[in-house]
Amino acid sequence: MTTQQILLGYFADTNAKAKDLGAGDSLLDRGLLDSMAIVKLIAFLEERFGVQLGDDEFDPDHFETVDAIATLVESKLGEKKS
Amino acid sequence: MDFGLSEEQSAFKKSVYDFAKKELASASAEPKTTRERDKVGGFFREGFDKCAEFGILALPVPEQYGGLGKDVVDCALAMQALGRGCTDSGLLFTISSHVFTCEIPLLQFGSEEQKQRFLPRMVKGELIGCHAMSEPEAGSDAFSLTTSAEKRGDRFVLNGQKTFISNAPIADLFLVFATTNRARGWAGVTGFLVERGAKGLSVGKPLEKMGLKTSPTGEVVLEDVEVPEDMVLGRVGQGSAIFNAEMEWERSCLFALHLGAMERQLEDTIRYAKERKQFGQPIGSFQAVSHKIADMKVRIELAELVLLKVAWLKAKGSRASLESAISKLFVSESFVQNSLDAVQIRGGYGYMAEYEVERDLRDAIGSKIYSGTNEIQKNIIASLLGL
Repeated sequence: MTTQQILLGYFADTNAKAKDLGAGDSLLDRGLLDSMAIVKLIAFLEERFGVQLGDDEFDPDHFETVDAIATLVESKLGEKKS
Repeated sequence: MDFGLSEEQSAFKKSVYDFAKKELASASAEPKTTRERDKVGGFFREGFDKCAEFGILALPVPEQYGGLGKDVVDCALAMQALGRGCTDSGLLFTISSHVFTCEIPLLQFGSEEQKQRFLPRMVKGELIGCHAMSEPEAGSDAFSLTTSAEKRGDRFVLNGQKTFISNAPIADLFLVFATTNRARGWAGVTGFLVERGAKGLSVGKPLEKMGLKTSPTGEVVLEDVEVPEDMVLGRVGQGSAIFNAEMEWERSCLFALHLGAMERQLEDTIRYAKERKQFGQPIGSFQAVSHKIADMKVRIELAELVLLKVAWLKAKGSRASLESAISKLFVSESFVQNSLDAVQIRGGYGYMAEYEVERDLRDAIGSKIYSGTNEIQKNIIASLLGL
């Protein structure tokens, strides 16, 4: 399963509006990521992928789309390996 | 697992307590006592300066900016000791706002130039910071704020109104949250550093509150306030990250003050229950009283455990969204209940201002509201449980 697929699954499970979500769709424009949802998403990312996000990585650009989140997660996983 | 403090931590905590007890007991000029200041809404500037001199304002700031470089656990221990040793909760609330909602965001998100410019002076108490987030129509729904930041050339122009801003009447540096794009909700919120004296920035007269009367609170109005680009804190759109990060600090360190205040209350209440006699016996020998005191102690013990767990998690670099919400909720509810018990045990005397426990109760109520209401903490907890 790719990181994108895991994330799309997460959104589909947690929000009925995310059933037809694409990896490049804007999460903000579709109303899938309010201030509470982002806190919940970060907790999910840290637990599911075993990564730790710094406070300064909590940036809207990193959470614009599923693709953007996947890029962030994969870069954190890469940092962890090295 | 080790629940104990190191010798160094114990000595540090004791030194803060001794300082607070000795140096913050009374001012050299009128109004001298906490009770007198509470009556007139007086800010204990002399106490603030003494705290700066002792190093309280320098606690989490690295040495390169004139600070002590203490971690979250040491900061929480220091706050706990201050809360126990000093009865002026308003002064301590002002200090907490200055340190944890202004210095910390600057440290975590500020440019090197911003840190060099402001932190050394904040540590010395030459600049007082305030954190301007809440608005008349944006309280619990904080990120729905309407204060706007419009980009014009190399600067932003801020317009809007902030309310319930701790330290506003005495602040020199304002961390103002404004939106660069309302349609993006939390993702459009940005932090700006604005200095007192900026054209278009005005501060209303102190608001009259139920408690924490010695901590000045006010409104901030921004009318075409021009802020240069280099006074954006962090990046544009990073305001929510700043806010969430500092709230975790505040929910451990500010609430450690309340833990200390509860310890002070308990010590005073035990003493009172041993001295006060009714029906020929000390009232502490009646279970109606002793059980209340036992409950007070249980709350303090649990509050300390949950609060220091948050501090420990943060000191090792972990996020503590769930734990800090639990801690904030539990400590504040405990503070209110312990204050009610302290009043009830003293009966009529507890209701009188002279005995100074009714002030603790008034001060405690706010803790259920600021740093996110307790209802919002329950929303966070439920949400992180997958509900």
